[in-house]
Amino acid sequence: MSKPETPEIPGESELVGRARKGDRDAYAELVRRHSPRIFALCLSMLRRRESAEDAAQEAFVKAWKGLRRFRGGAAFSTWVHRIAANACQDFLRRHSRAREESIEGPPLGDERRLRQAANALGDQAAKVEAADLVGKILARLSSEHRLILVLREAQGFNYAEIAEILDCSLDAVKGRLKRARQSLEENMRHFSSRGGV
Amino acid sequence: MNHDELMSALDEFHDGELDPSARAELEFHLRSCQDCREALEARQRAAEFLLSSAAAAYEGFDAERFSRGVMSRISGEELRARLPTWRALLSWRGWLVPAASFAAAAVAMWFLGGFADRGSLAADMLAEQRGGVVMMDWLDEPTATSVGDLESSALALR
Repeated sequence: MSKPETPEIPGESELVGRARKGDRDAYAELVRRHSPRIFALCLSMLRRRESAEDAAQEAFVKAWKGLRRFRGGAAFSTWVHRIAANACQDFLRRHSRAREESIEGPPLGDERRLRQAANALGDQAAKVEAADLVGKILARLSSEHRLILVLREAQGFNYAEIAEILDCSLDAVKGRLKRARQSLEENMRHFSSRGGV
Repeated sequence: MNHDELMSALDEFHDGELDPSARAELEFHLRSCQDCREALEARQRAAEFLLSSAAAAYEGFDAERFSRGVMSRISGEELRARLPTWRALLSWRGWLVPAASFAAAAVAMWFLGGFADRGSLAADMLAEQRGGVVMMDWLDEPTATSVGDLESSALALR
């Protein structure tokens, strides 16, 4: 009995090559593969799902327009993350007022509820609330610190890749990451001293 | 490396970016240094904290729907790019070429129309002359088929 034929899954470089020649189906597949991580990055930066989805879409549209200039020396993923990071920074600049509102942090009435939620991570509903707390602590960081922390800890990029995404040197990555971690730990201590994280 | 140097290398250790010999040295130091262990634990807690944030982002995200949205936005933008913008339509540069073309076409039509009119006027005049000759035929006079014949007939009548 012969095995049922499974369609061959095209590799990333093949998809990029086809997309560069204008193949929309190939580009749609690239978007399907990379969009969850790009969306997560945008959500960490912008907090609101609608804004994050809008910025992520904008990043992929820009990537399609600039695909002919993509040399292929870097991974497609790194390149799209760079475009998405810039799209988020542009979005924050355009909506600076909204950003100021977002970094105010949680109202005091919410804090006790969130602290309880963070301490009870076993419960699903509490997990959702704890994620909310994470978002609020992240919102207290500068966008530069938030971006580098998410790229390293949540997205798992190494220093060389982060340097490429942020268009800076390896030493700059190390310095920024150190300062970002200090800032995050200070904010986490601030919450834990009140019985939180 | 002394304690401070090892402490400052903790980030690279945590991120897996230290070379193997420095990594081994730091691992040995961590066994006996409480401060460095606590600093490393703080980094690990921060990492878990950020990972939980990313995990929450993936929940409910539909990559298929998102991809369709991106492709539809690309099609829309490409279609809009092909249409002339209001600014282009309103600017004098936008108007100049079509207006000049229209004017040239109008002048050409006027000339051609003029020629056609003059042509039809000449034809009418000839027809009138010939009509006169026909009338002469009706009067039972000698047949004349051209203006020359007509003139010679008139001379003969005198």
